[in-house]
Amino acid sequence: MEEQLNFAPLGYLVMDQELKIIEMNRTMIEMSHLVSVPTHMHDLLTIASRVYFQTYFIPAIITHGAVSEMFLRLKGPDGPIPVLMNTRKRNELFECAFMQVPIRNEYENELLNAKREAEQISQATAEANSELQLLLDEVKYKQEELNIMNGRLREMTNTDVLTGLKNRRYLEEFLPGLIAESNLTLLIIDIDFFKRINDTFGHHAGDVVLKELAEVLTRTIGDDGFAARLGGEEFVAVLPIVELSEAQKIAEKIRFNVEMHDWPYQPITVSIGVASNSDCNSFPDLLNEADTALYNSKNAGRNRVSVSS
Amino acid sequence: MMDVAKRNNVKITGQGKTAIIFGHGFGCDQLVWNEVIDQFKIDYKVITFDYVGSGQSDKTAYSQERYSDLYGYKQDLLDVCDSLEDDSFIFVGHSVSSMIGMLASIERPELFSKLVMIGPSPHYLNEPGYQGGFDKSDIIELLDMMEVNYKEWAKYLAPVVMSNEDRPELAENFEQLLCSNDPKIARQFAEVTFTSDMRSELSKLTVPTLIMQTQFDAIAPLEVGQYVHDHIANSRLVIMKAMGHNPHISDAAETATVIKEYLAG
Repeated sequence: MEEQLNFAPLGYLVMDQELKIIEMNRTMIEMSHLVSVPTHMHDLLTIASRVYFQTYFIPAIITHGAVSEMFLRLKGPDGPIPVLMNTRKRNELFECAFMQVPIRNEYENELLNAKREAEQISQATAEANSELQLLLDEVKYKQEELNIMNGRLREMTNTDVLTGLKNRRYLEEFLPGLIAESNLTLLIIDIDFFKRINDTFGHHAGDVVLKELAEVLTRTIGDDGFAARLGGEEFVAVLPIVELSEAQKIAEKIRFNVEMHDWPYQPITVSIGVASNSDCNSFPDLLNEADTALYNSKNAGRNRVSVSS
Repeated sequence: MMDVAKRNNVKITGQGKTAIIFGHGFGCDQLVWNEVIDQFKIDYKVITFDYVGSGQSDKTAYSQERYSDLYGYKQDLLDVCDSLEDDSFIFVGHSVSSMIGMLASIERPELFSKLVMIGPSPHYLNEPGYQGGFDKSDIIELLDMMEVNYKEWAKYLAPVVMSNEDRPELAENFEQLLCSNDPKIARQFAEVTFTSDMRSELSKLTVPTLIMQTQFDAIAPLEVGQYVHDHIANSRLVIMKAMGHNPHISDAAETATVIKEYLAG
């Protein structure tokens, strides 16, 4: 071998197509820390490099007649020696040049590690994101649950426990709005001599009467409006109609149905006061007017309907 | 309905009646069989395919779970067989494919009349009393090397697999595909291949089997080929003149001749 090639600053090696080494230069021998020229290309390579070489070198060289920048590791006394190999097929032989790349290899390893770290981080981020998404879904679900619960709670706070009718709270919350928007008629319905029932038959009897009255009211009013319990033995009916004479007819029907009802303990009657918001526009005022009319009914002997004038 | 022909890029050629199916090994695809199958086209119905994740298979069908061991690849092979009307196959598997073919034959022995293993290894790692040829650190080094060399070998492999030198744009597209899609799949396939242990399965194989062993096979050395032969009851071991782990590429003629002689005998 020519001296210049023999001592060229790169490893040079020629092998046949069975990968048997035909010759190599001095630099290559020194690079691999060899005592003599090995017989087979495999003898130069680490186990992993051999596998890689066998898997990819032959397909590549057969197709292209050349291989460039194949990264391999040579066996060395102090551990693997990273090299880049270029190979060219010429005269049915493979001519190979080897360049040691320990520093580049370090950089490359660092890059590889950085890449892996980045992959791990992005995987961790993706996992954290999907966990966050789960939590968000959970929050959304809880929110919906809360909305349903709130709805139920509102329903409960607006309902009179004993009769199931709307309560005073409901009226105070919603009637001012209704009054401002449209005309309506309010009936106050009060049980006559209710105290006597409680005193004679006990509080349970009183409750039974209140419940039954609620049913009679609901049935009688039907689609014409709704009934509510103000408290004690006092009820109201809210009717979205303007004509006082019309409202008076319904009030009379209520009074009549109550009187005719088959009560469990003793006959019951109610006194009713009727007022409409055509002249007043606040709920307390309307309530006051209806209350005055009720007072008139009571004074006139009970079991009757009076209309606010 | 799953389209196996598309998913596994199944190709059928040949004028014969007997179906022979070729399974590629790790790191390549069905086109590595091109020279070998030319020798079978007159007498056989020749079937080649790509495992999902390799070659021109449908890579969207790849899942880390299904292909986390060789049984997922075995299912690919059975799916390919079941998608064809033939009811009996000769299977030729290179490298890890020979173990995949073995798993398929154990599960469905009636489906395979003969099995051909080229460079098989049931276990690559060294264990007490068993020389697979590799230590754990070798496998890690190999996986790193694949990663460093990735773009290079993708570039070199592309024209081989496309086999369309007159249409280089195909190769270029394929190279891009390989470079952008495959590193993770290739790495997992390598991990699955080099960490599998099929030694206990060998004795379950009943289908007549040919084991083809080359000289200087760095991946599956002679002792491993001998081990496979010793543990498969109905097997014949043929030592080839060819060198290295890829006789079907480097010595297609000898590879085809050895297979044909076995099938004729």
